[in-house]
Amino acid sequence: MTDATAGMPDDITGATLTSAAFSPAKGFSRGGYDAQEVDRFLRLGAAAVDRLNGRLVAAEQRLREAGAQIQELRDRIERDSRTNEVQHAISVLTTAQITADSTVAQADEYSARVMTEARDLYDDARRDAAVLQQETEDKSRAVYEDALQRVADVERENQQRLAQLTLAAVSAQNELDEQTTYLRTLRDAASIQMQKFLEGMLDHVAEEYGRAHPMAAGAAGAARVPAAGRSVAATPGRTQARRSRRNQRLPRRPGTPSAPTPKRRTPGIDDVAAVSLGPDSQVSTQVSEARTQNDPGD
Amino acid sequence: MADIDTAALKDNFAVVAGHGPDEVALYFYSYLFLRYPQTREMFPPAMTKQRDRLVAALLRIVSNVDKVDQLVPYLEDLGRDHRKFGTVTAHYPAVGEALLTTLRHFSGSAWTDRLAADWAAAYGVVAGAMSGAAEKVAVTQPAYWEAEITEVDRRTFDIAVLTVRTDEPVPYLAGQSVSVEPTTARPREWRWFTPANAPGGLEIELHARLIPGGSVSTALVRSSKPGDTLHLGPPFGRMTLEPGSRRPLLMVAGSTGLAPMKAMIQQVARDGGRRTALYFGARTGREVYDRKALTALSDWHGWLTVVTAVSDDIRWSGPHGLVGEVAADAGEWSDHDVYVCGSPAMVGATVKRLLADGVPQTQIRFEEFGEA
Repeated sequence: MTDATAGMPDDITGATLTSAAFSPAKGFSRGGYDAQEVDRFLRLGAAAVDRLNGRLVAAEQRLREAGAQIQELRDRIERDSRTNEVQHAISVLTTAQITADSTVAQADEYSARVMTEARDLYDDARRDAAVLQQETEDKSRAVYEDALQRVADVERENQQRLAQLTLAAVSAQNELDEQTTYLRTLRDAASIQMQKFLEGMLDHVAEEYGRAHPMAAGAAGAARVPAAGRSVAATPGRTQARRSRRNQRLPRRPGTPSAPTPKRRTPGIDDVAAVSLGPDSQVSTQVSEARTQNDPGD
Repeated sequence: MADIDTAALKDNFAVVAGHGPDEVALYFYSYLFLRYPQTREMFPPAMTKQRDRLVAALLRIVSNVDKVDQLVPYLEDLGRDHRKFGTVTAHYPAVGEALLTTLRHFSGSAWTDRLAADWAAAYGVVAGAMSGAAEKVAVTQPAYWEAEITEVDRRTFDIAVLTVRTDEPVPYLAGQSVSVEPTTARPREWRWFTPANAPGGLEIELHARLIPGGSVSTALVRSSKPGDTLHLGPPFGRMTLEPGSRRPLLMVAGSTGLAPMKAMIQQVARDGGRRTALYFGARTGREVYDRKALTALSDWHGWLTVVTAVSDDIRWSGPHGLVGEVAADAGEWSDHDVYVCGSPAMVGATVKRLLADGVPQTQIRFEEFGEA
């Protein structure tokens, strides 16, 4: 039983309130409890309940805080363990990827190096080839131009020589022509002289023979004229043969100014001709005829 | 991206990239393949170039994250192009998760809920633009076109002209490129090549130059043969004829950079012809690999002038020097639409020179080839 006149204990319970004992009411009223006592008990009870409620709120707060702390710790533990696993896995994957990348990169690098070297070689070869080609072209152009120049020089020289030779040839031809003309004249003159000489000889022989045999001399005189005609008709072959022999005997360079004079070469014939021939005009006429017959345009 | 703190994203990306772009990309793909192993077969065995591409794309996206008008067309192209890898809308959340995990991993203590939310929102926009464009085009266009090689003409030891045939026309514009996958020699490896003929037909002419160590170019130039199958991805690139422009044209091409010029010249011819000067440059006379076609083009089209310049060949009797300089020296081009295509060095030098000569930047379009 709780003595309501005593103080309210801190460990107030339901029984504290239900077992409270109050003094009987004093004065004229009958029954009931002392009102002052009841009021005082209620005040004390209310204060005790408030105190208890305060403690309860504080405890609940502490509990919540503790719960939160526990949760946080749990989360942290869980997160840490998960994060570690994840980090570990990420690390493994990363390493594997780096290894793969490095392997591929090495292969690519090798390929790049090979290609670069090939390209450098190619470039060098191309440049060398271009230089060589250019040099060759320059050289061949130089050779070609040199050859052209030489050809031009040779041609010019040739033309000069040709001009000189042409001049020399013309002069030689002229001299040759002159000599030919002289020799023809000489030949024809010699031929006529020889004929006259022989005729003279024949007349002389006939004359001498006639003195010995007058009959035979008459027959010989009749045969003399046709014989002279035959000698003229037979002239071409003999004339050429004579000319050929004379040329062989008297070789002469064309254009030689100091050619031996005909007199010196054929003194016997000339002497005979000078003895037997008549006036010059007669000889000239006969030479002109002989030339016309024997050398038509020689 | 109005409610996204784009400045914070840029700062954070700078912190992440500070760990080394390749390191970040390695982590990204490792996480993606670990969590979603089925995505691995969409990529080639060697991932080095793929990582470079990822980093380049991320950089571009992050740099332009506050310029939506520039970013969205790029993302739409990227989304359409990703169809050829087999990418579908369902893959985008997986990539997003891998991306955010990667960013958080490398951000360390700088990672905040706000950053996570901003990155998630930004990725949502990116993925939305990409997958949206991909889904839209999927109605009318296949993810890639199958093409059969009908002719391989090796013009020099490192340049080949391939003729391929598709079952239906590939809807590119003259000057645009398509990505090419040699399905047998180098599966899942794609590189850009530009058709050298105007669109509309079933035949496409491709000019391939062997890049030392370049897997796809090596396969195409050295080992491709008639009957081999290629996959052609959707067309890409903005070096096309400007619609409605009547300005005369200057085209400067180095080596196989000739391909887009040929396609555009064909297109100009179809459109009625327009005064055009084509300057083609090569190192040597032998590398003037399409001489016959160039002669034929200038013979056919009275409005077209073709000049070939060679830079390293004492035997060449035409103009000597770098093609960009030869072209710039040859005339006054400020009233022309100018197109430049070739190696990065050639394009850079040519564009710089033409700008210095007074050609307005808006009239110059260019494309670089190389690793593609």
